[in-house]
Amino acid sequence: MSGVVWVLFSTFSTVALFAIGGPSALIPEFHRQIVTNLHLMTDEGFIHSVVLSQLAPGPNMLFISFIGWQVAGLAGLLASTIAILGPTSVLAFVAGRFLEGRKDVTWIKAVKTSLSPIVVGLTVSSGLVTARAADHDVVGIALTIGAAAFMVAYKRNPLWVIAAGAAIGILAYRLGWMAVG
Amino acid sequence: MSQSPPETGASSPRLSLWNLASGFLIIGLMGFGGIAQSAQYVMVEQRKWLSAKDFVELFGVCAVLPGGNILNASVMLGDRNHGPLGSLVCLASLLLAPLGLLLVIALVYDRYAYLPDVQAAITGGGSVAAGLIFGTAARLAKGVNPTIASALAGVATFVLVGVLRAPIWAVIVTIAPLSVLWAIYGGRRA
Repeated sequence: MSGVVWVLFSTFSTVALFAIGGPSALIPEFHRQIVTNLHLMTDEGFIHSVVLSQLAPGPNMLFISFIGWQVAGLAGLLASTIAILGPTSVLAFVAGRFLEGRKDVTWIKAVKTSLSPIVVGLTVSSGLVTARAADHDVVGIALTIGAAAFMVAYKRNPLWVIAAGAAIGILAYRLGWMAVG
Repeated sequence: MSQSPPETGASSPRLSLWNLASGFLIIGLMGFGGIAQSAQYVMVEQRKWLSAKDFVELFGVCAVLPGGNILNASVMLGDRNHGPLGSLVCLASLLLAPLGLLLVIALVYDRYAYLPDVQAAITGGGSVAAGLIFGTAARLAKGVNPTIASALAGVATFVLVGVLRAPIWAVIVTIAPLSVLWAIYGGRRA
């Protein structure tokens, strides 16, 4: 395994074990590791991975697979995917066997209740980190605020909102309101 | 709270490997913009693998474990029916279509990323993605018990991770155990 592929593997498999609240809660951690510490990607590349991985169906964790691809091609994609799925799948396997037949789930409710504000804190952090990396001007900030308001007010498939944002992005660029690159 | 009938999990009829594999393939394919709905549709309504109550219980457990909910659920359902082989088959079937499509998207992106219109579209999409995450946070916050302890936990997490950019393990080993202890000894029982 080449150096960078191993770095991806070891980084993501460690983060995976702390992955409560799903990938949208983990963006600050991935950004901290990939952009700030390891310099494997720029802010721009990171945001592109966030957006493009939304276009594929399936588990949101594939965002990590996409980052692996961007950093180290097919080997990076496979290493990242296995790293993010491997440790948690083994844990799920063990937990599933342990819980089989035990229908008393009060402790699960207690843990879930106490973790939920932490997940909210992590998700707000994700929004902030993403907005800082993505928004370069007034158009970007307006799109972020608009999308947040839309998400709160309506229950629609987020893909349509991203498509609308892409269309507005092109329009703003053509009208000269937004710089690119 | 609810008394479940004295049934043992092992006695329920096994789902065939093909049934599970094709079901998870469809869940993966249908999950555009969020996979929870397609999982619920296939598992409960279409294929009747689980009752609505079992589905909620399974996802409750998966939400507490690290990792993606649906990924964990595929591992557990596979094992219940066919052991470790079942887990591998379910996980692989779930990932097959999304990973394939992701590769196609990556190849198209690598080819056309230089075009200014494509750059502008992705930049707009990125700003929207940030907003969607804020919106998700707002929705999640509605489901949190409005207590001082949970407000403290949420704000402390945000300050540490969002503002000070502390590593996530620092939060998990400090705030999470305190929060769980508070739930058990301090506050009302959930």
